[in-house]
Amino acid sequence: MPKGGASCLTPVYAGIRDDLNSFLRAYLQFESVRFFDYKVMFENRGMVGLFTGRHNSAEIIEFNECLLVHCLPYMEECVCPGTPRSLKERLFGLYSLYTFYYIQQEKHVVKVRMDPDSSRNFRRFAQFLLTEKIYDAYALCQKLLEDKAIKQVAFISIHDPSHFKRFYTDDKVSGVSIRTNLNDPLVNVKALVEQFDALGVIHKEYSRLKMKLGITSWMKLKDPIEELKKIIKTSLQAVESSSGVDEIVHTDHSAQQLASRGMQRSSIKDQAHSAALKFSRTRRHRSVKPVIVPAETFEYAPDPKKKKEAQETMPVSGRNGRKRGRPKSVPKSKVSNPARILYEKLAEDMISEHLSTDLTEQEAFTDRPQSSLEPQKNELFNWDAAPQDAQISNQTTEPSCGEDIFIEDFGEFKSQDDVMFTAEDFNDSLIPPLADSDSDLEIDA
Amino acid sequence: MDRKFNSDEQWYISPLLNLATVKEEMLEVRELGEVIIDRTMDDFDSKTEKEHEMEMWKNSLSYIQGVTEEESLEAIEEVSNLDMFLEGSSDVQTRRFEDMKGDRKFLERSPLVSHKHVISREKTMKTSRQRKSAYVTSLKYDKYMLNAGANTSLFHPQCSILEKCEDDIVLIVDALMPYNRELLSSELRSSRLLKPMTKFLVRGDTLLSDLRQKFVCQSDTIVPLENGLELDPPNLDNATAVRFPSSFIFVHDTFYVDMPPNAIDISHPIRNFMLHREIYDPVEACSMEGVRIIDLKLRLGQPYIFQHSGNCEHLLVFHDLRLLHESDPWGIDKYPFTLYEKGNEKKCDICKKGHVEFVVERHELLPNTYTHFCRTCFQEFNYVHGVKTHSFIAWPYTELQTGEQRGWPFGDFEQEDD
Repeated sequence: MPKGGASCLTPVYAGIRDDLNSFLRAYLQFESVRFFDYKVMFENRGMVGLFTGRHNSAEIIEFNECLLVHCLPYMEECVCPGTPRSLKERLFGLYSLYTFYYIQQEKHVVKVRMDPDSSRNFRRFAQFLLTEKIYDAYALCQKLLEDKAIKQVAFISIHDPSHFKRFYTDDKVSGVSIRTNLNDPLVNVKALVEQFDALGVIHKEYSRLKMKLGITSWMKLKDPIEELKKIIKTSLQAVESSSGVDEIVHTDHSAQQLASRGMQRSSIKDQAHSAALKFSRTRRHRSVKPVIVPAETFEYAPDPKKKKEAQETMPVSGRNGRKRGRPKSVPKSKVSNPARILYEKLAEDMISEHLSTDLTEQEAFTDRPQSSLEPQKNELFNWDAAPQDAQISNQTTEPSCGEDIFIEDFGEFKSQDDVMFTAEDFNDSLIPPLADSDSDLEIDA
Repeated sequence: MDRKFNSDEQWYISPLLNLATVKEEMLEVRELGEVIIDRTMDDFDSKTEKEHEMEMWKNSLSYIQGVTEEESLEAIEEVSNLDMFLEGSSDVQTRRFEDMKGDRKFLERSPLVSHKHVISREKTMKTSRQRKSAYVTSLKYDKYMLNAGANTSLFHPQCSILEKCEDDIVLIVDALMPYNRELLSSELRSSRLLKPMTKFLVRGDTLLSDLRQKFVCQSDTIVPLENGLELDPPNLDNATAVRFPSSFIFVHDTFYVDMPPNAIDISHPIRNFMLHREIYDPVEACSMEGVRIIDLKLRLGQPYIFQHSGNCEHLLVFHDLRLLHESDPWGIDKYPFTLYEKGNEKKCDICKKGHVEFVVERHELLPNTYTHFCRTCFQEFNYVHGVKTHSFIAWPYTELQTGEQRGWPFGDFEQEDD
C-alpha cells in the first residue's frame, strides 16, 4: 500500500544521528554539566552549520522537524530496557533540543513533535532536574513550555502512505533475543482453587463428626488445603525458572518479511526484465502418425519368389539339385536381352503347367513313378535347350558339355532301380517256361 | 475491512483509535506541563514582548521552593544568551533564505556527516530531472507550498504566550485522486499512485458534512452538451452532481451517508454484498448529519472511501493527529482548512495558449480520442458561421477553484495579528 519501494534517494534526515552521536561522545569527555560549556563546545564543533546546504523550503522545514525529533531519545531514562542513561547524556539531549529550536531560521520555525510518552518523560526529567538543583537545565524546560514550543501529537510518525518511503533507516534491529510465550502452565490448577474450599468444608465436617463420636485418631489427619497450597507453591517455584521461550526478533524490513507479503511490483519488474527469452516452435500441421509412403517397385519383383517357391515344391533329389544349378546362371542373361526375358517368362509358364500335370500324374500313376520321371527329364532338357541357341552352339563346340550329357546317360543305366528291373525282367523271361511246365504238371496231376 | 487490509501488521497503519480517548490523553499530558508555568502578567502594555517573556520566566522560577532569586537570575542569564550562534543581535535576525544555502566549499570542508549527504543528494538530483522530481515528491511538505518561494512567510516563530487555544484535536485528511476508470499502464506505476488531490486540516469539532461539502471534484461538473448547440451555455441542471446527488464516506466499519434532496442510500448494495462474505466484518450505516470528526473511530494511514457522483471514488487518508496549537488557524468556521488543492489547469492542444473550455471526443478530423480546446479554437475549427461542420462529441471542461490555496495555515495567524 505505501507508495513506491526502496528509493535510491538520500533522505532529508541523513546524517543527523551520526553528527549527534559524535557530538555526544565529545561532550561526554568534557567534565561539566553547565549549559555555558555546552555552548562553547557547540560553537567549536560547528554544529550551527547543520542547517546550511538546503535549497528548498519544504526541505528545510522537514529537516528541522527531524532534527528536533532526533534529540528526544537522548532525554529518555533508558536506552533500552535494563540500560539506563547517564545524567550527562540526558542533559545533552535537553541542551541540544533547546539550542536547535531557538537557532532555527526565522521563516522556517517548526515546533517540537512530542507524543504522550515523550511528554511524560520530559515532565519527569524536569522534576528530576529541580530536585538535583540543576537550575540552568530546569530553566530550559520552563522556557520551552513558556514559548509553547511543544506540539502534542498522537504519534511521532505521521502515518501517511503517500509520503512513506523506505530509505535506509537508523532504527534497524536484527538478531535481538527476547523472551516470549510466557504462559502459565498451572493455569488449570489455579482455576480449581475455588474447589479447595469444598475440601476444607468436608474436612471440618469430617473432624467434627469424629470428635462427636469420641474418635481421637483424627488428630493425625492433615489439612488438605494447606497441603495443596504447599504443592502449588513448590510447583510455581520450579516452573518460574523454565517458563518462556527465547525468540530472535528482526525489526528491519528485510526481504524475508517482504516476501511473505507477496511479490512487489519492483520484484515483478526485475523478474520480467532479467528472465531469459524462451524460444520454442511447434509445427501446426504435424500429424500424429507418420505417413508411410510405399517405395516404387516393378512387376518382376515377386517373380523370383515364385520361382523359388516352385523349386521348393519340387521333390528334392540329386537331379533336381542339378537342375537348380542352371537357373542360377540364367538371370544374368535376362537383364541383358529383353527378348530373352520374354522367352524366359514363357518357359516359366510352361514349367508351371508341367509341374501341375506332373503332380496329377504322380497321384494317378503311383505304381509307375519311374516312368513319370523320364519324360519330365526329357521335356525339361528340350525346353531348356530350345531358347538357348547360343548355349547349344557353345555346348556342341565344347567337349565338356558333351561329357556332361554322357554322364547323365550313364547315370540312368547305373541306377539300382534300373539294375533291379533288368534282373527281374531276365528272371521273368526264364521263369515263365518253368512255371508253365509246372502248372501243366499240377493240372495233369 | 481491517481484516481485509491486515491492518495490524502494516507499518504505515496505526492501531484503531477512538479520537475522543486520544484527545483526553493528550490534554492530560499537556496540563501536566502547564502546571509549572505562571502566565499571569502585570502592566502588559508598558513592556515589550521580550521583557514580558523574561519577567514571566523569572516569576516561574522564583515561585519554586528552594530557589533563590540570585540563582534564578544566574540561570536565566546563562540560558537566554544564544547570540553567539546568530549573526547580529537576537532581537533582529538577519539570516535570509539565501544565507541558509551555504557555500559549496564550506560544505565540502565541513566535518559534519549531514553535509556529506547534502552533497550526495545534490549530485543525485543533477543526474536527471526524474531524480529531482522524485526527490521533491518524497518531501513531507512539498504539497503544502507549491507556490512558495524564497523568503516566504511560512511559519510564525512565536505565538502568543498569554492566549490559550481551545482544547481540540487536529487531523490532516488527504483525498487522493479518484480511481473512477480503468487505469492505463503508465498510471499503474507506483510513483504515480496515491497522489493527493486535496489536503484538509480538520478539527475534532468539524462536522463530517462540512468536510463532504469541501470536496470539489471535476466529476461533479460533467454536463452533456446538446448536439449542434455546444457553444450555448451548458445546462447545469444536467450536471453529474445534480443527477447523482448521493454520496457516502466509509470510515472503519460505518457508512456515513449524505442525504441531500433527491438522494438515496447508495451504500445499501455494498453493505448487502459485504453481509454475505465472511471476509468482511459487520458494518453499519448512519446519516452524516450531526457526526463530528471526534466521534469517529479510525486508523491513521488506512485508506477509507468517499464515493460521489455515481462511481467516482476517492481514497481518504487521515494522518498527523495532534492537539490544536496556538499557531494553528483560530476559529471553527475556518475548518476544514485547505492545505493543498491540486490544480487541473490545462492549455489548449491547438494554440497552446488559451485555457481549456471544451473536451472533444472522437472528432473525425483529429487523431486523438480526446482533445482539449479553448473556446476560440473550438469555434474556429468546428463551426462555420455558427454551423457545426464535423462529427464529434463535446464536453465542457471546468477548472477547479484554487483561491483558497494559501500554503501553510500559519499565514492567517499573521493576518489576524495585523
